[in-house]
Amino acid sequence: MNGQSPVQLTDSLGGFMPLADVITLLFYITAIIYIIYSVILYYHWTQYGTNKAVTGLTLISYGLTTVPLILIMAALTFSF
Amino acid sequence: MLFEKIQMEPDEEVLVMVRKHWFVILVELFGIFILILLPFVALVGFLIFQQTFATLGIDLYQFANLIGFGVVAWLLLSLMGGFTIWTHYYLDLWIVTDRRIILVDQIHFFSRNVSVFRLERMQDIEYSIKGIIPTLLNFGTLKAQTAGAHESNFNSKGLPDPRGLQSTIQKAMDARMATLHVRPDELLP
Repeated sequence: MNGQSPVQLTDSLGGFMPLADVITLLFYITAIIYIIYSVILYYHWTQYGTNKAVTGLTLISYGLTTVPLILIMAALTFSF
Repeated sequence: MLFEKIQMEPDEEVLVMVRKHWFVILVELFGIFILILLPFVALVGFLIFQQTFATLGIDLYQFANLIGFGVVAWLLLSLMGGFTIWTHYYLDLWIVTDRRIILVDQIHFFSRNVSVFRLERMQDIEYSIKGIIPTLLNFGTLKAQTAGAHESNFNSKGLPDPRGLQSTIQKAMDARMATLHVRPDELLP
């Protein structure tokens, strides 16, 4: 690693921008993709679903599994 | 909901509603399951070879937040993939009524094909079950052809009990013909 310590390695990304900023940018991109995807998913299920119970169960499962992940991502992002 | 959009005819009765066989989605979701497991396998690998990384001057604990971020992002994207597969599976269906067959083909998001075939226009219906697993689990392909100036065919793969579905459609066709007082032979060229 040419004498570069791991700490230095994580501090910047090839001099382009600080790693914390890269992670923040990645988080915002992921969050935008997540929000758009969630809206599309919600639209499809509410418009084309055939059973309200299955639609509700799917959307609740989606929220319960993905919202904690996005919150963890946010927590990790702002801990850098 | 879907039935409000399809606009069923007065007194139209839904005979059967069919989605693809559960094995089809099981295979697709298994891929997502492997994807979800992948970062954990990698983490176990890193822990096993911790000493090797240490000799290379790489302290994984320094990257804990970065690795955590990557793993969570990976899990999120994998879950989104899993919900996409489930959505396509559930919203892709055949509705056989006493008057028509409605095929809803959810190809992917923003690509949806809904075809309606009237039973009195139906001609050949054939099914095929090919392979060991389809034979054991009883799923296969159903093909049908409609009569008209422009012949149109449709076929769907991975349908459960295709023989039963063929029989249901055939009976519905015969009943429809009887209702319309048309002999099936009269429709043939």
